[in-house]
Amino acid sequence: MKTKKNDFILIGVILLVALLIYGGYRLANMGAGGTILITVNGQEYSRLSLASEGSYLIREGEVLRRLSETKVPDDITDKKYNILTIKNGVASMVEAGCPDLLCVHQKDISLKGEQIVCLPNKVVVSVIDGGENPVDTVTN
Amino acid sequence: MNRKIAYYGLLVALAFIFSYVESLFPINFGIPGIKLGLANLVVIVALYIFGIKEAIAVSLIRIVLSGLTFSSIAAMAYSLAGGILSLAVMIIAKRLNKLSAMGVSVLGGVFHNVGQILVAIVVLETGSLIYYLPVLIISGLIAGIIIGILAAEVIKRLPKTEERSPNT
Repeated sequence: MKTKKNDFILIGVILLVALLIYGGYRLANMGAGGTILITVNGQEYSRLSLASEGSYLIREGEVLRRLSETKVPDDITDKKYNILTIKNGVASMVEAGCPDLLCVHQKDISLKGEQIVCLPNKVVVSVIDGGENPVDTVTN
Repeated sequence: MNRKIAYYGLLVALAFIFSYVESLFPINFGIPGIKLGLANLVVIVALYIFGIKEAIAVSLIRIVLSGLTFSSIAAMAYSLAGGILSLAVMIIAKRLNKLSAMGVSVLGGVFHNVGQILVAIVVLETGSLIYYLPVLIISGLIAGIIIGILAAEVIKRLPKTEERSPNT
């Protein structure tokens, strides 16, 4: 069983496809992003400005809670929570109740189109473009 | 018939152990949640040495067993989608006979990840998960190359189908 020439062509094609999807995605999401969109279970949950620094508790069936300190509030006993912090225009997931904590290990987001996903809690946090006045986000 | 059952048992056990080993020492590529998928090695070898039916059986039984044992039902759903899509693509690729085991393995690795992200898009109802596709394609490619090299070596060393077919 020898590696065939076709195998290398295939690898090249796959690399190209990945590059094209990445390029296309970046191109479609050009420009500054100023707003964080949080969805839970596919439904819009909350919007936050990347300028509004602080820690926020994301919890299904409850409104977004602003936390005074970055830790899990005492009244939460189950695992259905995620804590997002925004600092210096960068959002990151700092804590979560999910077992794998993959969302906490995902990189911080600040560019339009970037996102953090927590599969167990079905939470998606993504950067979308500036809120009410899209013209301003371009000139800024 | 007994011989066939013995082969199935052997392959499933091997794939199951690989899943277990990987859950103990995740071989990751610095990206959260991405694995090498050692169990896929057994599936590819089964596909080449025994046949399509055996590869499907090993893959599905392995996913259900390790899903119930090492992860959650939700994780099992992702795993099943990835496993089924990956296997389907590998079976077609092998049939077309244009690629070596290495190329087939690469396709399997890539489509394993593509299948999982498709389920995530459906579950989370967010098309924007496409964002992860390039990373997942590349990591599937790397995993597929490594598994492919290993599989080619194993296949080379094992006796041919005629002598070892579970159908005899």
